[in-house]
Amino acid sequence: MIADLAPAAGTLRLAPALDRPDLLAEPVAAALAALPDDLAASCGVAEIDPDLADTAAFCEAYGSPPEASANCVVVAGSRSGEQRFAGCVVLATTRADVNTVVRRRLDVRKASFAPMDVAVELTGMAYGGITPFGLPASWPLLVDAAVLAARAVVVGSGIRASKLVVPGAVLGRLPGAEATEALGR
Amino acid sequence: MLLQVPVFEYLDYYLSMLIWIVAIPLGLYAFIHALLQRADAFTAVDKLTKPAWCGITGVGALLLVISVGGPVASLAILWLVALCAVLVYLVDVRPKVVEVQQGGRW
Repeated sequence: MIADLAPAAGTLRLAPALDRPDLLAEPVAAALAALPDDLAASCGVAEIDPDLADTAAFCEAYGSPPEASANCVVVAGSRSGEQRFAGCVVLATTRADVNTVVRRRLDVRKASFAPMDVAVELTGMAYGGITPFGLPASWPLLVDAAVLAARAVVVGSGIRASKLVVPGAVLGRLPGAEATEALGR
Repeated sequence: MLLQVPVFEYLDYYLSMLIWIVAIPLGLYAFIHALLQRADAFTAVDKLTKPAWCGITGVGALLLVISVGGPVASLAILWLVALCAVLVYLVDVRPKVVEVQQGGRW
């Protein structure tokens, strides 16, 4: 089934993600294992050079089209002293509309990108490897409709040394996932 | 007596010279600042994209620097326009872009 992921994979050699938990951060492997079997089996993983984990460098080096990469950013806001977070997934060719769409969903006055150290600490994932798989269960996960519609997208794996390649629709089946129109602009 | 000192005679010249000299480092600072921000911060606060602002502040800084003939030479209008663009970045865009990143760098 992971052969279907070829358009996004570029020159990567994909392995079934379930077979290679060593290439996934711990919460990511757990989230994958918690998916229904057929969905989890449709996800691939590949080892990459950790210096090339950032999207632009990755796409260039591995011949993967930028419109087949999805970025995951952690957005934070606070309301009456309580910190609220959300994961946001948009295609790498677009940018998350933090100030309107995400802010409204979080119901906070001001939304901003979570500082890197906070995001890393709360997710248990590496800088540059943050992925929608395995985010804290209490967070809403906003997924842009264009990501869900993609046949295959590259996302992080929780570590910089590998990438997951998954059918876009799988991201909509993650816990807390909410299909969101016009999240990416 | 005092009014015959040349400084006062050319007050407009010295004033614009002063503004121009202050504007050059402001322009360069704005350009470098824009370059160093993460690209999605600009979208996040409903501003033009990062390349757009890098272009505006970059061209602005360039115009300020190349108006070496001084502030009242033939490029006078251009460097004033450049200064306005740079000030818009510094006063409006920069604080919002910094805030949405909570000062932290990704």
